[in-house]
Amino acid sequence: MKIKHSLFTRRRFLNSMIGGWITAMGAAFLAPIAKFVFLPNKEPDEILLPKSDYENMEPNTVKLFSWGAKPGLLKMNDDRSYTAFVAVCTHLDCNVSYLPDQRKFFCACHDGWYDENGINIAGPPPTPVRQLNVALDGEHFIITKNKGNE
Amino acid sequence: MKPDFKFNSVIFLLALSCFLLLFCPFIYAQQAKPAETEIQDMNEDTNAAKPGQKNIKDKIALYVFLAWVWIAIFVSIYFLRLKIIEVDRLSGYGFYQKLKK
Amino acid sequence: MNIRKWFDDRLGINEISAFMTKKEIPQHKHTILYYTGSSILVFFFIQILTGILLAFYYKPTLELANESVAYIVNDVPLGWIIRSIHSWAATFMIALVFIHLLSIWITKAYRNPREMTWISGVLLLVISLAFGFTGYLLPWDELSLAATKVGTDIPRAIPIVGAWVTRLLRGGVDVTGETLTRLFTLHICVLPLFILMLLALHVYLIQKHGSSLPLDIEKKNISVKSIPFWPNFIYREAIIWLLLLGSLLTIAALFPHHLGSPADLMAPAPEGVKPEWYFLFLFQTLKIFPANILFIHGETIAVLLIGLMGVLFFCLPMIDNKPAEKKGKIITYAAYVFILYAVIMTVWSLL
Repeated sequence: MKIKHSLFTRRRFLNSMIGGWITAMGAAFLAPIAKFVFLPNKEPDEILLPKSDYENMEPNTVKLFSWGAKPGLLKMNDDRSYTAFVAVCTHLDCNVSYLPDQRKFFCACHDGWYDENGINIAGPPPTPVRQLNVALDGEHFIITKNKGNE
Repeated sequence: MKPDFKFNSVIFLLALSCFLLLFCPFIYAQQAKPAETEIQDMNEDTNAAKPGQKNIKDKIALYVFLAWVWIAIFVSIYFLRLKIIEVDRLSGYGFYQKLKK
Repeated sequence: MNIRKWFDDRLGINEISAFMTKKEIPQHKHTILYYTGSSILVFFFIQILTGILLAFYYKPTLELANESVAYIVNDVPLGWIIRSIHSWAATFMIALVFIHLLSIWITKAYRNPREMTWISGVLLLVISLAFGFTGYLLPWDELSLAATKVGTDIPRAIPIVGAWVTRLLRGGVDVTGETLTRLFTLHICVLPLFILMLLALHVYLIQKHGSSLPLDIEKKNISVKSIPFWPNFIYREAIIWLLLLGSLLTIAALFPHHLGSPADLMAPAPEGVKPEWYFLFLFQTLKIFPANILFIHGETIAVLLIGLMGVLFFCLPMIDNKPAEKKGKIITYAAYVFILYAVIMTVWSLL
């Protein structure tokens, strides 16, 4: 199909080609810089805790461990089983503490409360504290991510 | 229609000299390396960080990337040359003076 | 509502763009030298960008400096190329500064009314060299520590104020962690402030006075053909920038900068201590002076001589007040003598 007039001028075609090319080069240049600036996520997939460090825990107490850069709390429940939490408030990322006498997790920043299983019960937190899977393997506790609540 | 001064030869010479500047010392260094580095390694700190690529796969990836960079540069120079020809022609007609008025 | 008009009413942008279309660059056999100035700016912006990126991960303390650079080089994605670009762009930028300076000297572009442009330019050179010097210590490896010890010791040779200057640079009598923090502050805060102010002055003066014509062409009194700065000259400059950037990237990728192990303040100086290449000719000059001339330290005389040369250099436009005559020709030859001297001294120091 022949058209009487060309759809755009030579000038416009040339300028669009150049503009598109420069954009492509700019994107190719910015991508590695973005990679440099945004470091990959540093949360571990799995950590091993030596059992000896966590041996003499009482029921209804917690002990601190490092989950990457975040604090983790290993809690011994009343039935002597263990639960692990990422001890970070789901509201605005403050570190939470466990109050054994009240059987609640407490976030001091904005008065957020969670029950002994990490479920949010009062205050601004929108979701429960993140739980991690705990497995016992001879010498170690193996703490892994819970795929459900990543 | 072509740019006034010896455009092609200047650009060609520049590109050629850049190319020679970069790859010849590299080739030379490759030949000179084996004997020297062994002696150096003994005095060299083992704690030192060794930048660059460790295996041949990464090295090839780097060369491919550099090839793309130079292709991109030469394509850009080609576009710029077209632009220069156009802009020289237009300024010769007084196109840009007319815009000001 | 036209957005362009909104900004123009408040900022006066149209005046700037009108000036840019009027600005012209003369075309003659030395036109290629006009490209050196903007090329320096390109590398300067690269230094700012890569410097900011490096400063994201660099830790300027005695304990962590070397470790953080090793972290950047080994662990941060593409950290090694950012660091390599930063160190190679410094070399490229200072090389271009020297070429730019020599071209101004030889074509006598500092003639009336461009004396202030020259003066601001010499100060820019000093600050660029200071950038190189302060940056060299930051990886805190053996070679850079030794080079900094020597470099900060040199001002001590200046009579009366020397010891104070050395103490100011070092943050104490010796090179310590304080020196590192101090030079880091100079490198990312103080020197950038000064260079930006001087650059603003330098670029403004260039716009005000326009491009100068070399003396031999001006003497002929013919009207020289000019091309508009925007867009004709800018597009030509863009080609040069692209080639320079490509060269920088290739060299940085193929010859990444080495990082030694952390410096030990108590260890003896390693072999082969030398400053960056742009200081080598000064370094060799100092080396060739004997320990004592009559009753004065050789080093003091060398430093004072270099200082005197620096002052003469600074006042060059005022000294060269008759550029067309014999005195002017001698000053042009002095440029070639300087080039020869610098090259010979540099090569000698590497042997």
